[in-house]
Amino acid sequence: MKWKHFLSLGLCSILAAPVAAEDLYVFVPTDVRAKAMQQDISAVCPDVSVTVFGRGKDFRAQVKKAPPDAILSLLPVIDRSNNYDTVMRGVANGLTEEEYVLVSVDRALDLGQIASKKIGVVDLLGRKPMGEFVSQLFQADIKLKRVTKQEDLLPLLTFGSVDGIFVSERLYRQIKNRSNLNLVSTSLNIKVGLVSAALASKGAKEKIVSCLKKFDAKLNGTLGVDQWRVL
Amino acid sequence: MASSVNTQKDYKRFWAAFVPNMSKLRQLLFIVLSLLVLPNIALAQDDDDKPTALIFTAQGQAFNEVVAGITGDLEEELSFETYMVGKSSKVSEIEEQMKKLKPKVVILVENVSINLYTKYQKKNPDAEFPPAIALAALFVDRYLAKLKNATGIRYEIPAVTSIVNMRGLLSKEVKKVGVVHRKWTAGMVAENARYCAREGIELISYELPNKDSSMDKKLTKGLKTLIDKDVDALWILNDNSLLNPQMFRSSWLPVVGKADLPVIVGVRPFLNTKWNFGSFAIVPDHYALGVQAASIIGELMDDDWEIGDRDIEQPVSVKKVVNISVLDSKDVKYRKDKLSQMDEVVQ
Repeated sequence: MKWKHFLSLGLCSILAAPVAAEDLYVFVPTDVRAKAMQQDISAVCPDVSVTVFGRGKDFRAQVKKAPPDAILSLLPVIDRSNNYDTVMRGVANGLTEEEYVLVSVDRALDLGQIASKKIGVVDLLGRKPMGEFVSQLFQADIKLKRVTKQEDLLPLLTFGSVDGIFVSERLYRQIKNRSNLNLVSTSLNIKVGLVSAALASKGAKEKIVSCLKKFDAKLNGTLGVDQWRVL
Repeated sequence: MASSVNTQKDYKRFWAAFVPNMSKLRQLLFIVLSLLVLPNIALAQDDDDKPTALIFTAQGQAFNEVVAGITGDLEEELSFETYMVGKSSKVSEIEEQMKKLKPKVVILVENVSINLYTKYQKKNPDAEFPPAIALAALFVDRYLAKLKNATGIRYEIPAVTSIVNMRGLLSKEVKKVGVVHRKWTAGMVAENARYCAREGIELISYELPNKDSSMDKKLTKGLKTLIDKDVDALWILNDNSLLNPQMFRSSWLPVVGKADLPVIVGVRPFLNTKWNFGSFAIVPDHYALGVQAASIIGELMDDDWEIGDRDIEQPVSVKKVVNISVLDSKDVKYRKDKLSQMDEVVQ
């Protein structure tokens, strides 16, 4: 009977041993504070160790220092994070990308003069990569004024620190709801990928997919999506 | 393959030319060591080539955050040197650092740094000064008027920033906001009123003299006048002459404490629940202030270190603290779903 005791003891030890939770780093600029978002995501994904970053720089530094199993961010950020493969794409109104516009006060910006204008953006990638990314989208060298939080874009317009801001149409609507400035948008025919999830190791896929699928409408709305598509 | 052989031969010829008198083993050792050392020399050379940015800063947690924001994402492009200054620091220290480091740009954090650097410029009237950026200092405009080749970011949070942030949380409309101020800040208040007007907010001001033996009575009268004008909120300036403990007890608390109005303050301690006074504290985000300065440095780099006719900037980023106990006790309705947008919620 002794071997049965040993077997039971072994099984109990295995079951009782702490299972290392998958690490998920999140960097998605929203109006919700990182701490609040971390609480919301952790509540629906108790078996995932969630860290939400409010600043791109902190996110990049931590990904480099202690690479997580998965990251959740806007597609341009994921595209520049080596060793991560996208496994889920956020979807809004049936699309995995969203339209971006230039927003200015009183008068629409002349796109022919865009190279001489100063444009405000939320910093996703750091000074040089962000400049390269936006210039590539516009097919022109753009002078950028970067801010760390998306709520800081409105003051840039209020104080005339920039000629316009480069934002998604969704964010433009949010800013318009907050402000009584005479805001005008200029269509660009530029689309940027929505929030997506990417993995460093395939082993974490099931848990991360299950986690994101549990996001409720409020959390998805904060992230700018209405559903998730598994790739 | 041919090219590979040729390359190997080329290496041998190359090293033989440099080390003709060495044995083969020594040559190999020399090559290995050279390969290990050369990249480091190259890196050191790269580091030396970076322009120097010299930061003069006062000590303190807030200023450390400012410096972290400045250096954060320019570290790869600039070599940062930070020199701490205090009230006992001398102009000669500034002079020594400037001579030693020959910075491409100078960053002045807090008023002490700006004062010392202003004295340094005055002491060297014929010198050419690199561009300087002043920030995290009260009333920076006054000091920048005395500095050559300098720009900066204001420390005071504009009314429009504070009010728009508060408005987003409140359930009721905010159309009229009152402010009591001394005469010397009239220009700043007028500028704030213009920004507010564009947001559909009327900033109603009540001006007090700069000095008066019965300032407390005048302040009480000013506050009562604003409340009688049915303002939707009060915006309180950080003016030590009006916000000292004596004035707080004699004027602010008796009038504002009883008024059922949201009150915006510029420093966190005024949100203390037991006073039933401040409901919103909109304060500088020091790290983001540093990032804003870094953005100016980046623009200067792109403009070949020319300041040109650059304006002094307003701070764009703030931290938002709300005391919902005070709001509840004053029966001011707010949107609970927006509390997650606050940096801190005091209950």
